[in-house]
Amino acid sequence: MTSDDFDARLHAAAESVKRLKEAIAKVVVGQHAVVDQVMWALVAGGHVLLEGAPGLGKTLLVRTLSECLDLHFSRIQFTPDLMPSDVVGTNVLVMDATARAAHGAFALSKGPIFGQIVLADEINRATPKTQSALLEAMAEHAVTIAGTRHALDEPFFVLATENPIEMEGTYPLPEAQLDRFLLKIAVPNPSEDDLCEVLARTTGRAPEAPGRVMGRSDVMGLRTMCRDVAIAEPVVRYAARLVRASDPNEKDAPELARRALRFGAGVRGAQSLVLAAKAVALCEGRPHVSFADIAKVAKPALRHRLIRSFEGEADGVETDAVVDTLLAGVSPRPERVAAEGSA
Amino acid sequence: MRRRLALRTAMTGAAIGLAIAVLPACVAWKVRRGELRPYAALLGVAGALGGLAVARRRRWSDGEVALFLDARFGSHETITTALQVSREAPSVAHAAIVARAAHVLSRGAMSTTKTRLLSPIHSLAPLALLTLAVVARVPVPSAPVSVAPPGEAKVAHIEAEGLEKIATLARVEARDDEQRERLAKIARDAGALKEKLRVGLAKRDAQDQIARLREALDHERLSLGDGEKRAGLDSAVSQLEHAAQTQTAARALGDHDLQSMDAAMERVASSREKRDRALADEALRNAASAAAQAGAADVAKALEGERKLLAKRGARIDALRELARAMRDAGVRSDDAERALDSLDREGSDEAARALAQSLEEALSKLTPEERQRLAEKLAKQAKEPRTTKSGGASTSPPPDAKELEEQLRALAKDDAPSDEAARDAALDRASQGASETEAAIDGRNGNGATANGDGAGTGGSHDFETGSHRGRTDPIAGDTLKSRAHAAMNAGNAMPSSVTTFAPGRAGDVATALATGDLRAAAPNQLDAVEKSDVPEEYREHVRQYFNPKGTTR
Repeated sequence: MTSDDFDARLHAAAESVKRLKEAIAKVVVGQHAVVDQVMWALVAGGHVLLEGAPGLGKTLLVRTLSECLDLHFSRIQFTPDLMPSDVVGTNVLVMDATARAAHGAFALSKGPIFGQIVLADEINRATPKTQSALLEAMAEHAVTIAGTRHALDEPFFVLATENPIEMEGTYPLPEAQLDRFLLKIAVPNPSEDDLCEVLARTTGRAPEAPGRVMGRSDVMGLRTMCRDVAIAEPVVRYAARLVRASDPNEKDAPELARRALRFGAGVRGAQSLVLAAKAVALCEGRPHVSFADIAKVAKPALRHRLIRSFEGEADGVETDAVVDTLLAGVSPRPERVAAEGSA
Repeated sequence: MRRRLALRTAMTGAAIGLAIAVLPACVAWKVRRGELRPYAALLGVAGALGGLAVARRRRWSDGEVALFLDARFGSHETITTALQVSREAPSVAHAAIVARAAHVLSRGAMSTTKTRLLSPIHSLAPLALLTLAVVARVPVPSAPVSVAPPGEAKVAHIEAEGLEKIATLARVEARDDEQRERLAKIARDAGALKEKLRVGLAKRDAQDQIARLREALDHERLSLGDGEKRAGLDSAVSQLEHAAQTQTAARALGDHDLQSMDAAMERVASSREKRDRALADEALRNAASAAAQAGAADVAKALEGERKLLAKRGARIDALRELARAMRDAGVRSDDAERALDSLDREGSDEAARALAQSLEEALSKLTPEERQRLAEKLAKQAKEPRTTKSGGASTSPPPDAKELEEQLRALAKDDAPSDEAARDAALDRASQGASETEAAIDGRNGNGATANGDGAGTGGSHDFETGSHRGRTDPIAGDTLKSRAHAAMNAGNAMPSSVTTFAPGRAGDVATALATGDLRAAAPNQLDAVEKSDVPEEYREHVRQYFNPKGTTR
């Protein structure tokens, strides 16, 4: 394969992602940033936590994505009484009705986790015990049922949603579980134009189904290519400096981070930054990561990894504001290069 | 790009160097070293070299250059990534990245890769150059007239011959060991000062040391009968005053003027009347005894020496007189000898005795054989007559012949040695004169009155608008002619003259702002109407009069 062939593959990958987004856009109005971020997570092989008010199309987005991808889709509606076995499945006794004696055998009844695109709707409504059942699957891409480990089909892509408004009777995800999500995507309210379009689509005839755009091999190929995206040492160092600056105990941390944060992003946060940035580069058809890619994914990759302090919570400091401060305070290039480059 | 960065850093260094160079240039102008001002610009060159050194040390790495190019081209760190992957194992992906970077570089305009060459700090360079040019052209300020503080002036290369006269005190025969030590110290100090004056020292110090030498000389002059021996001196003076023949000597002794005392005793020794000599001798003996009793051994010793000298001088004068009489009796006439004999009788000085001896010797040399024969016979006849010798006994020696007589006269014509005290006093006088000469040399005056400037040439005063030569020379004045010796008594019992300058009110009750001289010396203490004749203001005369004479007996 020559470099031209490589470029062609890159171009094809970018085009396929573009087609996927266009297909989704036929159903989901607006929310381009959200769709982009979902694409990054899909390509990077990470999981996504969608947070937004009810009715913003979170579930629609995931369902549309599953329709566009030729993958097995399953949905779990998390409720307080949902049990782990309801998620991962269980062994059930299956009786042989034809046999003279009552013979039976245990058969595995797979839960909804055994899908390739799993929608964990309102994940914060389940108990931590049930949430942790999902945790193992997200981290290991496998579940253990009755002592037997069952690998999940690849690509395994979890998209969880949660509602930040109705906190009554919810179980906020613990930090360890939040850390498993590559990106936490904030779903914003639609703009006026988007809202008009939504109203037009949803109050008329049912829209046309988007159709299959990508298959399993395509997704796996994108993920493989994503890992091959090159990243220069200064860009890696920039990501590392951003993460270290989020540590309130770090001397280079900005004042807001020191005041409003209790813990900064850890190693997984840095990994998420780089991996998501690679996905961004790939989606844009580039074989390498830029500083801009890091900055672009900084908020979705870090916002759920920054643990606010009491003071930060009391002052209502959002983690996005802290990330903005980090981006403003940490220069991607050395100072003298930045001074000359900006001239 | 790196060259531009290095050039910019060098220009920055040069600008800073030139800006700094303004300071030394101004300093050079201020200290009137105008020739150094242009060299201050070399600091600009030094700054440029320093800037190059800094640029070399802070040279951008390849990675930094790649980052800069990516920032300029907006190429999403393509060049940076390509630079890194080019160092790694080759792969298709890497090749694609390098190809993209090459494409970016080939597409990008070179102008966008140029860094800024000028920075705001570079504006210092032309400003500094302009300032340097101005400073270099401004005339150097004239040197201020520096006046050294009083006493700070230095004197050097002075050959103080006068100090040699002080140094000779080491060879003067001292009265005792203590005086010998003191005189030796004065001589040493004079020698040391002479060496310092040759090398150089502060004028104030030189004057101070000369003053110390003067003080030591004055103290030495008054050392006879000083301190606890003052009573012995006063007793001796009192004894000498009892005899009329030694009253002058007594006054001179009281004034420590030992040369005058010796001269006075010389006149007594030349007296024709032997009684006068005997009375003087007795007075001297009594004075020596009184001094010794009062504990003034040095005074007693000096008086005894003067007494012996009196006897010796008397014998000499007697011998001359006898010879003169014998020659007159022998018919040998010499006008010079007659005049010298009259002078000796009148003055009684050593010079007169010496002149008489020379006249007699001259007359003797002109004698004919017959006259010589007559003189020999006369002397033989006088020798047969009983006469009193110097020791008071009868002389039995044969009469001298003409040759022996000439030798005796030659011996009598020699200078009469003064007393030891007089000789020391004379040495101290010479030393004081040497101190004065040295002071004059330090002050830039010489002994004959010439100024240190020599011909007195000068530029004239500020009011001198006319042209003309100011050159001139004051004729030298012999220093010896300016000398005088005051024979006045220093402590004759009268109060020292004085004048008082006071501020006094013009009228009673006024503030004392008027300068008045109250020269009270104008009126003697016991003079009638002295207060009226004095400068005491009228308003106060009555008060003063009543104060000094409350009973009003003087009017």
